[in-house]
Parts: sequence; C-alpha cells; structure tokens
Amino acid sequence: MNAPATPSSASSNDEPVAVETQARWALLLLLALGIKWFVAGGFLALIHSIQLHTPEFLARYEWFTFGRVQAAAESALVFGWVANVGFAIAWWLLGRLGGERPRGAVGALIGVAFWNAGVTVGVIGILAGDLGPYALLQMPAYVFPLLGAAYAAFGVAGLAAWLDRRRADTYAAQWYASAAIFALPWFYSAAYAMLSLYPVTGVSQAIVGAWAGEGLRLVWIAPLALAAAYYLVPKLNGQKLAAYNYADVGFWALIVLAPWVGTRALVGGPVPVWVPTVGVSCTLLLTLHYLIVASNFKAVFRRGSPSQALRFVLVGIAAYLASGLTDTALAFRSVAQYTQFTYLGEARLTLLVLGVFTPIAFGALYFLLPRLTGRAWASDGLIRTHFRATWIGLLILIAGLVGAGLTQGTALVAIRAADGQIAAQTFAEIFAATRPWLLTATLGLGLELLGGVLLLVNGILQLVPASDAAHSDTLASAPAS
Amino acid sequence: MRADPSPDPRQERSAQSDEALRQAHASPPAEPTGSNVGLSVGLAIVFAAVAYVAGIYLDRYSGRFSPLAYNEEAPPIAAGAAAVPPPIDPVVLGKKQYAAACVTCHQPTGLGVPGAFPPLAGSEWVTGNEERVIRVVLHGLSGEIKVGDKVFNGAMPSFGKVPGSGYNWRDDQIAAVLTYVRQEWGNKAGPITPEKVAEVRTKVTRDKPWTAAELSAVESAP
Amino acid sequence: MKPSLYFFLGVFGAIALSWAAIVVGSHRQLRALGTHFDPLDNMSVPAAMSGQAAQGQRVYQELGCGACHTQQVRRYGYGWDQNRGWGERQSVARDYALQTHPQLGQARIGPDLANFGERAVKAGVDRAKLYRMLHDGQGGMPAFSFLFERRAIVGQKSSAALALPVAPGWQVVPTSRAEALVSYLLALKQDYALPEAPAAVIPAAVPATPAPAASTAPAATAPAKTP
Ligand code: HEC
Ligand code: HEC
Repeated sequence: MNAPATPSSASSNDEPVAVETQARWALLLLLALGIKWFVAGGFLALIHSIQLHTPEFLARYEWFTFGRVQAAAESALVFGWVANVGFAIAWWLLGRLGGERPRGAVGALIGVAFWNAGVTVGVIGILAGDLGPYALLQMPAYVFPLLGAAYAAFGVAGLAAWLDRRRADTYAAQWYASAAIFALPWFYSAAYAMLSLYPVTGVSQAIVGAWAGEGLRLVWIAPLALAAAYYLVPKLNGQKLAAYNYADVGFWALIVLAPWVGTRALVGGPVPVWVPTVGVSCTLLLTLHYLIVASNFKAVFRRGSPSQALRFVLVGIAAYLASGLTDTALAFRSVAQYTQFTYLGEARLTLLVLGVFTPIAFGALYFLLPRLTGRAWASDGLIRTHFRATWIGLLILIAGLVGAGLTQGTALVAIRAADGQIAAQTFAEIFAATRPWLLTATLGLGLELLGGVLLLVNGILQLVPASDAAHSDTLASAPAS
Repeated sequence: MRADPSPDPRQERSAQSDEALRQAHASPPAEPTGSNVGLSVGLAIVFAAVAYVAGIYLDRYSGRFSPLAYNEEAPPIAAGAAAVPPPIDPVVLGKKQYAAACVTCHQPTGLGVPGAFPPLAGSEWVTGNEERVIRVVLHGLSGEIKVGDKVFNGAMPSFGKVPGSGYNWRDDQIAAVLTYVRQEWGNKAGPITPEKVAEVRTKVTRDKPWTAAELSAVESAP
Repeated sequence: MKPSLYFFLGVFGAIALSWAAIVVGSHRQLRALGTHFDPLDNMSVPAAMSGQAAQGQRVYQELGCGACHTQQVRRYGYGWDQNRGWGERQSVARDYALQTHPQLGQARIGPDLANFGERAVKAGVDRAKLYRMLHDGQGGMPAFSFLFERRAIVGQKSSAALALPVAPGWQVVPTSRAEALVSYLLALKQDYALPEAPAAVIPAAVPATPAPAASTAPAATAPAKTP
C-alpha cells in the first residue's frame, strides 16, 4: 500500500473553502450513502441484467421476480446513487462558487438520513410488490411524504447556497445545479399528486408518467451531471470554456424545452396524436442545447490532460452528446415505430444514469473526496483501472443493449416480402436471437460495477490511517478564510 | 498554467482557483472572437432549420389537437363527433343483427337448410309485402309455408317487443334486419323504416305466431 | 435577490407551462370523452372490468408484467402490431377510460396483451393452460410458480389443480391471486367498435403503405361535415 501523500497547501488554487469544512459531515454522509446505493443498485441491476437472458434466474422468489428487480434497480440507482451524490456535488459547487458559508448543514444531515431511509423503504416496497408502472416513478406512493419532508430539509440547504452567493454574476455550473435541485420536487410531487393523491384514470396516467419521468431525466439528472461538468472541466484544466457566452442559451434551451419532450415515448399509442407530436417537435428543437454543450466542451477533448478526474468527466460529456444525438434520431415516428418497446428504451436510461451521470460523478468524487477527508487516494493504479473499467464496461453495456434492441426491433417487423405475412418469428425465437447481445450487456455491466468496487476499495484504503503518519489535514481542516 | 509543477495523480489538483474560474467566465464576456461569430451564424442557421422542420412536423402530425385523432394519416374527425354519433346505416346494423340471431337458421348464405329452414334469398315473402314480413319477424311464424317451390313446416321465433318474445328487439333493429335481408343475396326490395314497424306493432296485437295462411290474407296498407 | 427570483420564476414557469399544456390539457380533453354509447349494441363501451379482473390488474402491476408486455395495439401501417394478430384496430384512449391502473407497458419482450382474452378464446387457451404457462414459464417468460401452492387433497381434488406430477395425496392449486390474474388476462378485449378507431382496411397482398387516396376520399370526410 502506498503511503498517502501529503496534500500541500502551497498551491493557492487549493485554498480551503467553507463548504468543505463546515458541511463536511453532511457531504461525506451523502457521498458514502450514494456509493452504498451504487453498490446495492448495481447489484440489483446485475440481477436484472442476468434475468434478461436467463429468465429463470431467481424466478422462484417472488421478491426477485423480473419486473420488480428492474424497478428496484432503477429506483436504487436513481434515488439512491444519483440523488445523494448528485445533490452533494451540486451543493458543494454552489458553496464553492458562491463563496459563502453553508447554511443548514445540520438540517441537511438529518434530511439526508431520512431521505435514505425513505429510499430504503421504497426499494424494499418495490421488491414486496408495491411498484408503480411508470419509469422513474416506481417507488410506492407511501414513501413520498417521507421523501418530500427529507428533501425539504436538505434541498433547502442547496438552494440557500445558491441564494447566499456573494457575487451577482453567476456561472453555468450554478444554474444547472440550482435548477436541478428545484426540478426534482416539482416533477416528483406533480406526478405523486396526479398518480396517487388524486389519481387520474385511463391513459392520462401514462401521460403524467411520461411527462414526469422524462422531466426527471432531462431536467434533474442531466443538469446534475452538467453542473459538475461545467465546474470540473475548467477547474481541472485551467482553461476558459470555448463559446462560453452561449452557455446561458444552452441552459435555457434545456429548461424550456426538455419538460415538453417526455410524451414522445407514447408515439403510436392510445393517446391523441398531438400529445406525442409535441414531444417529437420539442426533441428536435432541443438539439440547440446539445449543440451548445458540444461547442462549450469541444476543445477539451482535443487537449490531453494528466487529470484522471477530467477523463471521467469527458466520458460523461461524450455519452451525453451521444444520448442527445440518438434521442433526436429516435424521435421521428418513422424510426420510433420500430425501436419503441425494445431494449433501446432501457439503453437510453442506462446511458443517462450509468453513462452520463456516473462517470462525471466519479470524476467529481476523485476530486472532492481528498478535500473532505484531507487524504490523497491510496492508489493511482486503482484510479486508472477504474477509469478503464468504466469506459470499456460502458461501451460493452450500451453496445449489448443497442444490439439487442435493434435485433428485437427488426425481428418484430420481419415480413415475408412475398405474401406480406409476418415471418414466423415467435417471441421465443426473438428471445434466442437477442440472447448473445444481452449476455454482452451483462458483461459490460459487471465491468462497470467492478470499477465501482475499485473506487470503494480505494476510498477505504484512503481512510485507513497510514502507518507513517505522513498525512496532514491541511486541506480540509484549516480554518476558512 | 498555474498547475502544480509535480502533480500527484492521487489527489486531483485544481488548475485554477474558483475565483479565477469565475473571473474567466464572468459577464460581460470577452468580446466575441472570430470563431464565435462563425459559431453564432452556424447555430442560428442550424436552429432555424431545426425549428422549421419541427414546425412542419407539428403541423402535419398534430391531428389539429383533436382528442379523437389517433391516426395522423387519417382525415380529421369533427370535434363534436363523439357527442353526436354518426347516423346508423341500417344495412350495417341489420347485418349485425342477422349475424347475431338469424344466421343460425337461415345461414350466412340466406339459403336456409333444405327441409328445415326456408331461404330468405329470392323469397317472395322477404321481398314482397312489407306488412307481412314485419309480422313474421315481430310475432314469429309456424305451420306449413311454401317458399319458392318448396314447402316447410317449422317454427320461427318472435323477435319484437311483444308478449312471448325472448328477443324483445327494438323497432329500429327489426327494420334494420329486414332492410338488410331485402337487399342482400340479390334481393332487391326497398328499405323498411322503424316507423313502419312501430305502426304494425301498435296496430296488431298478437300473442302467438302467425300461419302462412293468415299472412296471405294481409293486404298492403294503402 | 432579484436575479434569483427571475431565475426561479423562469425555471418554475418553464416546467409549469409544459405541465399545463401537456398534462392538464390532455387530461381535460380525455376526461370529456367518457365512454362511448354504441347504438348498434345498445350499450356503452368499454364496459367496466369485473371485480376479480380488476383485482387481477393489481396483481399484474405488482408482478411487473408491464416490464415485458405492452397493452396497446398500434395502428395499421405503424409497426406490425395488427399483422401479428394483436388486434383488429388500434387502441385509443377510450379503451382505458374506466381503468384505474391502465397497463400500457414499457417493452415487448413478450407479445402485446391488449386483446389477449379474444386471442385466447380463438386459440383454445383456457384457464388451465394459462395456469400451466404461468407456473412453468415459457420461451423467454419467467415462471411465476409462487402464484401456486402445494396443498394436501382434502376430500376431492380441486378442479383447478394443475396436471403436475406431485406426490399422491397432494395437489398444486392456483392461489386467489393467480385466479384473479388469469381472469384479468381473459378479460383483456378491445373487441368493440369506436368511432375514432375504425377497423383497419388491410390490403390482401403485400402491405404497401396505406394508399393516401383512400383516406382522403370524400366519403370518409363526409361525417365530419355534418353539423
Ligand atoms: C330458430 C330458427 C330461426 C331463426 C333464429 C329465424 N328464423 Fe326465420 N324462419 C324459421 C323457420 C323454421 C321458418 C319457416 C316457418 C314455417 O315453416 O312456418 C322461418 C321463416 C322465415 C321467413 C319467411 C319465409 C321465408 O323464407 O321468407 C322470414 C322472412 C324469416 N324467417 C326471417 C327471419 C329473420 C329476419 C330472422 C332473424 C331476425 C329469422 N328469420 C330468424 C326459422 C328461424
Ligand atoms: C421477462 C419478460 C416477461 C415477463 C416479466 C412476463 N412475460 Fe409474459 N411472455 C413473455 C414472453 C417472451 C412470452 C412469449 C412466450 C412464447 O410465446 O414462447 C410471453 C407470453 C405471455 C402470454 C401469452 C401471450 C400470447 O399471446 O400467447 C401471456 C398471457 C403472458 N405472457 C402473461 C404474462 C403475465 C400475466 C406476466 C406477469 C405475471 C408476464 N407475462 C410476465 C415475457 C414475459
């Protein structure tokens, strides 16, 4: 084991900041719980991935039946991993850029504890059978009050960090972070009200589900990732972002347009045609946002960087742009009719959570954790291996799901040209044809999770006090200026 | 730039302080550089093109925002169509009634079953006097009857809202089924209106099936 | 403070606008539709589900069947749902008007079930076969054996008992949840006509894209012009 290096405070860039000293415990708790959920959610996701190609796996246990495991994995990753770590990063960078002492750190600590209790109840509830039918809104309704109260306790701390900022002019990372903190309760409570409290009947439910689910993806998860990216990239490479004067247009394009795109998932379905059509049109307009994000970060890809954290962030940005591109392409009716209801839907959410958010969050963790613990990471090699596992795993995972989706999509519409009858592709045959792809996806996911384990190991080693006591706490415990 | 000369890869160094980062990105932004102008024009053109396509798309596939448009390729349905159902085509209704009740005896071909059920196709009872055929379906028919050149002797149930009927069809249903059989399988007789059926039903009280002989006596109303 | 206010109003307003237009807008439209009175059949369609079937819908949701099965037939010429025999017309909002837990579904790892009840009758799939399928799983569909229980035969063997090799004196019978689920599956039918969803005119030969001439024929637009 390497001896932890001595973080020196010689560099003026690494001045201690108030948020890291005063909200240290709340931040550490958020990150620790987030990583816990990454492991738990990843484990469930692995079971789900195995069940995709081996349906009989754990099928004997009602709690691990296919639909429940899928919903539980998704909820654990989104409301456990993304919510905790995403909020921690947002709060932290708002504090850093705002330059004020954080307020409400104690309230946040309590809120975080209750939030995680709520998510635990929610995930167990799903496994016990109380699951909703809409993506990202699968947790049982009875955890909502708990989640809502808990979020109020720590979300407020995040917003306070934004409102308390010392300077009038603001930076892109701050916009994305505060908008994300604000959007989660908006979409979630609207969905809760219309699906559980005063439930609407019939397909209106599906419309609420599509609207809120996609809203959470694009106006909560994506901005959390973008906030971290906008902060970390210039922070780590020391450069000004290119075309930064467009960043605000890019931001507002996302905020104004993204809430409209969700219902495109219902294209061809039993809803009036205008409902998905509006979604498709807005998806096209949303390209403006992706173009601006691409121009902001384009130059960063060309320059090499010694920073491992930056490499993680770049993987996430690349995945984000790829997801924007495919979203646009898959939006059209002519394409959607073949890709709808296939594994591509799963690939989309996986790409956002594991492809966009997760690598960026890893990058942020590699930067942030040493500043909170006052110790350097134990091993450089582990970080490098983690990075490789992340991007290779991600590629294999997405390739597997996309391959399975395309195979399934083409098989569903295979037609014998001669007589116009459907080729006799039974679902058992389609299943057999997609199986190799699904096995590939499991491999990729396994690799991705292995990377997470490496991070965990590295983190634990970091905390183990080194024998030579060469470390010092200068970074984290020096009094704030 | 200001990066630590010997960066330790195990603890990411900040390449610039938060203050420097904000200064660099503070508004008002640095005056647009040449590449930025190019970007502005490029973005504007791309966005205009995308907005154009999105607008056309919305117009073409929105079904005029009607709650009844589920097929964007079909012509729009009027907004009130749900409240005011379209007028019923008696032939369509009649076909449905026939398939539901008559077909078991008189067969889909309308040819009946020799020796058991008389044909409706080409039957003078069907295409002839309205009053008679209405009575057959309203009250039923039994005893010997000659259809074409064959003689049948069976029992046909009553279908009207009359005593002893297991069917209790409305007047419009009876009118529709008769209209249907009078124009199907090469039959060429005019439609029968629900009003006519109602008239016969109120005019005649009968609680048992007719016989062919009785019906032969019925004359067409003036 | 002021810029923050505008910022939040902007974010709040952007989301609120989409909510009002898409969610509330469509909800108001759809609520006004209600069920459809079919004068041909002299009844309102769709009919409400029976109590047991409605319970079965809950079981369906609890087991997450929607992760693999959709319940929505798309129109002819859009995907090949109707060629696969999943329905004679496309599903529309009114088909679900009375359902408190509509299960439109997310993926098609298995076949669409919107008209499964109808299909089952035609294919001679009865309750016993469905129990067996749920108990054993089949070709990509996992088994749901926990919906059944092994019970000692008391008196007569249950008529619903599965034909499985079990120890003498024992039987495997569906639980009440399995019974409700199967009732629900058999009740899945969209076999009535709705004015907004005319049955597709399926060309006999190669499925060319539906001729636009047919859909713009004056006859088809006539009802729209009636006052
Ligand atoms: C249970 C079998 C049965 C059903 C159902 C039935 N019929 Fe008949 N129908 C008969 C029989 C038997 C006769 C001949 C009666 C007799 O021999 O007196 C007959 C005679 C007739 C006749 C007169 C003879 C002819 O061939 O023109 C008409 C008209 C007729 N049926 C119409 C209908 C219509 C319309 C329906 C459906 C609404 C219907 N029937 C349903 C059995 C049936
Ligand atoms: C892992 C995905 C998966 C899950 C979960 C799943 N199914 Fe299936 N289901 C399938 C596949 C694949 C088939 C096609 C099997 C075949 O034809 O060999 C199928 C077939 C069926 C069929 C027969 C359809 C037909 O038209 O023949 C019914 C009914 C059915 N499933 C009901 C259910 C119910 C009820 C549940 C929930 C308890 C469920 N399925 C859960 C994948 C799934």
